[in-house]
Amino acid sequence: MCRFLIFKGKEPIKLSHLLTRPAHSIINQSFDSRLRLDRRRPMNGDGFGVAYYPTDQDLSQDGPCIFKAITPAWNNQNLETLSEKTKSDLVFAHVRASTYGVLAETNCHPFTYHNICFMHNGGISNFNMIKRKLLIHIGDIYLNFLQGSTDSECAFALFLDTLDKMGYDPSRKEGNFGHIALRNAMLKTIEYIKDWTQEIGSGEPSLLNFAVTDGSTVVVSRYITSKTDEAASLHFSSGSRFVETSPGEYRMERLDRKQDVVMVASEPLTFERGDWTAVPTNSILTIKKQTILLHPIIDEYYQEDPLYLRSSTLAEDKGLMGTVPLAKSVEKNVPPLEREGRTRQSITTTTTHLI
Amino acid sequence: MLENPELIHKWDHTHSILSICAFPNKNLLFAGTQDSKILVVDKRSYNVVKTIQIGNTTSSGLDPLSSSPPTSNSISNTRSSVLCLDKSQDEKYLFSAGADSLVRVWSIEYCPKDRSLQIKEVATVYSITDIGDIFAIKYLDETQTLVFGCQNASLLYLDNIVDRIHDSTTVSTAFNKTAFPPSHNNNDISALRNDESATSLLIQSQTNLDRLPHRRYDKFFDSKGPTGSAPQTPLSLSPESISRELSSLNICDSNYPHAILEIPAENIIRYAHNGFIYSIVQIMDTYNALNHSDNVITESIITGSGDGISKIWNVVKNKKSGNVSIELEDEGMDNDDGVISQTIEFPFLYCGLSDGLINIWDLNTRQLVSSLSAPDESDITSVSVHDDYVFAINEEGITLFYQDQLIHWNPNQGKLLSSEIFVTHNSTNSNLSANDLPYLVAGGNDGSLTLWDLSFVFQNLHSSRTFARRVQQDVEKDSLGVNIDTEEMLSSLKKLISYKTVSQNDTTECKMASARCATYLYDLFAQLGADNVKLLPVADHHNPVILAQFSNQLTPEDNRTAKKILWYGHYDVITAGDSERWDTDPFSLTCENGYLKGRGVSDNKGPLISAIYSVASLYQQKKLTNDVVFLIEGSEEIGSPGFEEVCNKFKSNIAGDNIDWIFLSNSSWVDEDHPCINYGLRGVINAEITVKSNKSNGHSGINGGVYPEPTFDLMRILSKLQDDEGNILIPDFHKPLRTPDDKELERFTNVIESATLSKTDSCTENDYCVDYLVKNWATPSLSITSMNVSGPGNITVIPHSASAGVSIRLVPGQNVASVKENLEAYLREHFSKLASHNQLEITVVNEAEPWLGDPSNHAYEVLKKEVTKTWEMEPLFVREGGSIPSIRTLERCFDAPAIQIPCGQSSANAHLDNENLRIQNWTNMTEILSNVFNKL
Repeated sequence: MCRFLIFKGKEPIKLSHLLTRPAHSIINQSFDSRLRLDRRRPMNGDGFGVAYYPTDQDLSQDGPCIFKAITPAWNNQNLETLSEKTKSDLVFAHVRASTYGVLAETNCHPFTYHNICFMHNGGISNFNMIKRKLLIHIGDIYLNFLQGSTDSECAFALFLDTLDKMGYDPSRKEGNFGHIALRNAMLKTIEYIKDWTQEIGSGEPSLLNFAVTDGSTVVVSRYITSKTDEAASLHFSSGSRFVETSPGEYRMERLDRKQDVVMVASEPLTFERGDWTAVPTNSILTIKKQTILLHPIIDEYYQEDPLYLRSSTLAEDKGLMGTVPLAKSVEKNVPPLEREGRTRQSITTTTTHLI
Repeated sequence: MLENPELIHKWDHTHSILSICAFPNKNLLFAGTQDSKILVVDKRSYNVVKTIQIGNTTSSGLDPLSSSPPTSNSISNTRSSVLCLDKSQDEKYLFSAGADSLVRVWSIEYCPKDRSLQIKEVATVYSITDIGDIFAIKYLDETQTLVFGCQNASLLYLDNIVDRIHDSTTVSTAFNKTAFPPSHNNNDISALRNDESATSLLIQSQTNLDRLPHRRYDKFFDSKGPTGSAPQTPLSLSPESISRELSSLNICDSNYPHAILEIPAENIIRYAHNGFIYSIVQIMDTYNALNHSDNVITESIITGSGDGISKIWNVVKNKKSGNVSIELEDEGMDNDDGVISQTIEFPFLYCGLSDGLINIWDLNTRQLVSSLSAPDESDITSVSVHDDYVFAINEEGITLFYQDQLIHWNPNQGKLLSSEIFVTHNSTNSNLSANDLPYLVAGGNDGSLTLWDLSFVFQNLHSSRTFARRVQQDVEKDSLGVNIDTEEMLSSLKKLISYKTVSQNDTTECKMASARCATYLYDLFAQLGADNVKLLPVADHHNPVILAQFSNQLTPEDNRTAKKILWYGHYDVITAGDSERWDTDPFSLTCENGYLKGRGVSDNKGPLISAIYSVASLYQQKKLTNDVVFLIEGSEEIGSPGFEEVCNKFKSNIAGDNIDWIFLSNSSWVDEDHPCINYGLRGVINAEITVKSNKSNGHSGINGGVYPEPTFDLMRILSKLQDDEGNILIPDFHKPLRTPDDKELERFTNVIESATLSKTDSCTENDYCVDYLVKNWATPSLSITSMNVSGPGNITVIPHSASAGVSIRLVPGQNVASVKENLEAYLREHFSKLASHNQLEITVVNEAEPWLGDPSNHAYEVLKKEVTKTWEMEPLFVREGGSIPSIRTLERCFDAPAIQIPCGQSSANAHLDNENLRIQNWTNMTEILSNVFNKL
């Protein structure tokens, strides 16, 4: 079970507000899973990665900063300190449970290529059987770019190759390809994988939740090669600010209709039901500036009936359906912690509190 | 040149105002807030008359069956911003929607006669799909179709909504009758179970309830967590559980039918856009005339979205089958940037965009005509247009575009989030006419809601609001009641407040302000139709007195019965004091949260305007049956110097043959909630007592002990004024006193029992008894109010002069002149005993006679009846500890009884900082006086 999280804000946010502090951050999600009795769901213990784009102009070109580790995310002291001292307005974070490939930093998401950053939640079914086809398809430059052994990294190479063949140079230092180009490249990538897996007649559907950014626009897919099954979970939330109401408990503050903060995540980070909306299965979400766009992926797996209930068994079996305990209800009138000068307990105590 | 509209009123709320909907015919404004509320403002009284809390109130005592605390499931929908509001054109229904993914339909019943307002949630509309927030909602009257746009880019609609509510209501009433019998006994429930149709209804209700967004099972929110503890499972099918849920939705009352409606699959247009749908507007009138045919009704809407596109849709209703479908007509209007707001003034569509631009499209040609650019590049959260005037709202304020001009102003409301222009029609004609009055309402993220008068902006279209012309219109419309125009009253009061008529200050500025104010009142009276308008000069250059008369409009045969009423008021005020202590500018009328604020709003300019308009309204409508004379002075606050002479000198001019009644309003209620009628005031003698030596200031080290000091002399004689028990020792002071009779005590008891006095005084609760009122209202008192010494006030300096202010309050029976005489003689007698070389000076600064009216006379009876009618409660008959100098002057001079009616609530702060007046009191006062003046 992998999890990913995307943050895009008008103002930069401290990474700890996304990664370490929220009771239901993806780091804590992986940590929580140790308690699970259900053995079918593996721990997200196979490493993690964070990519964030620096706000400093001098550092902003040619790719984000990347921090990856193969240690379990909840055990990483460096992550704790770094996230307390780092701010960014565009963050990709990923926690991994290996499906393909060995436990190695090169196999950890997010993957980057110059200013482009990519991650994947899900899996390409029978990837071994289409791997050769994919590698032949892509240009040398992207074949050589591959360092690891996972289906996800290959999918990224395919994306880069597709973007390249559409006439955009993926190595452009300033990124900024525009939302249409990124979305079309994503659609094309998904289409290739869909067609190739269909050719080999693979039985199980592929789950393709891809996220990509060029440093300004973000494109995220929620997709499954099935008309009856549900894709891996994906939610989005937008609002004015992401605020901490009590230690570890956050909510999306929405003072107006604007989307100064946009978050996309495999699992909601707050317990407030109204904060989160599911990305429809088989669609693409785009964050253009601070505006969210939603486009359907219309192919043979598109479900016309809006009320059709897809089966979530497959995604659940693979641990790709977000599950959390219900929190006690969030007190709605409590202002953010910082606003009233209330102090916050240290991170360690918070973690203890979680156990 | 363009100018800023004038701010009429401002209301404050604790959270952002996200949406606004005006009901001009009902004179109501609805404002949706970030904290799940809809505020209901009555535009007449400027009061927030109701606050609707959206969603269930968890711990309400409404639920007799539920013993368990509410589950997190049931309360999770309470935090939901109300993002959009709309109404049916007949103003019977209000539609609200927001972050809880629900559309709520409210029935609005407003009876203007008794001002009763009934608001009921009659239906809740939901979708089983995860639509996210609802940003835009539109009700189409002809096809009875509700259309709404959501965060997941889909457009949903529900047709024939009124019929559905009606059907479902019949069903749920039947259901409620069986499910909620008067006594909740088991027999009834089992009877219900035996009833097949009722059971099927039960199942239907149950199913619908469980499918509401905040209740239905969600993979994320309702799954078992790692702790293995599952959340509350959906309720089982038992009547108890259903009733619990129903009552949590406030629908357990059988008089309170409530429909829960689901959007069917075929009414969901997925990916109607590729972004959040922020706006839906309807193309009115001419556009659809072309599309109408015998078989179908077509209404057209335009949706605007974050994807930058404005799309035109046709909502088509088949007349035979009643079916409604929506077809995309055009998706051609691409604005590049996200469309946050839209409005139509045919043939133009105005799109407010996310980068501060307003795109104007011609709907006939579907071409972009022009782009307007606001000074700030932030989201145009709302755009409104009236007669080509474009008002754009964004976080930096309001921008008004007209032709090539632009003005921008920031109304200090944080970031502005919502606005609406609405027009109150004064004519029955639906076309715009010169009598329509446009207003702008705006809401901000600081929780403020403001109302702006746009008539100034539209001066060239709407000639200025002349009162006479409009009232004439009202006569035709409503020949029974009196129409009082609060707007007009407000603008006159605003002007009146702006004059710094502080009579205490003898400065040129204040003298000139008083003169201007008197001239303004002169003009106002003349303009309103008064005759015999005069400025009467007062001796010693005191501020002039204004005289004006509204004569009865009876036929010559009838007018012998007409009475003559004198209204006394004053236009001068107490100084504003420390402006730091005021929240608003004291000399600029501020209207906030249902209150008027400013120096003089309560004492006495507010009541004065109220009285003037109560008569002027009658006069304009040719209904005035008595003569009303206004006598308005400008030096009341300094004891009305010269006023008595003026009354005597111009007596025939003022009174004509005879004055029947004298009315005035120069005090406030005893508490916040109970209207009062005043029949007694204490008199007053304010005296300054000074002891002086002929030496200069000395030094205690050099001169101390050498000669008798003025300070000690003063203290010695002051100490003779009261004994150690507090009894006043002035000779014959208590001799003429009467003890209150039984009737008097009965009235006092009534005040003690009804009014909430503890709010208004600093005494402890126990002090409130009849005895307290007797002491305060019917017993004389003596206070030392100030003590001053000459010199720098240094602790080693011996002053050469010391003075003290003494304020004596007198009650009926006591004679001002003899008390004065006795006081002076008494003090001089004791001073002479001191054998001091110093001199004693006693100056009476001002004085007033005590007054006691007859609360059982005809005028008081009529007044009591009218107050009871308007306020729907009997007034309290009160006396007061304070004094009004001229009341006895007038009674004596014109030989007529006076009637005092307090206007402001007890917290009005007359003479203090932040003087205010509740608008409800003000408008009710006008209504009461109108009726009283005609019925005497």
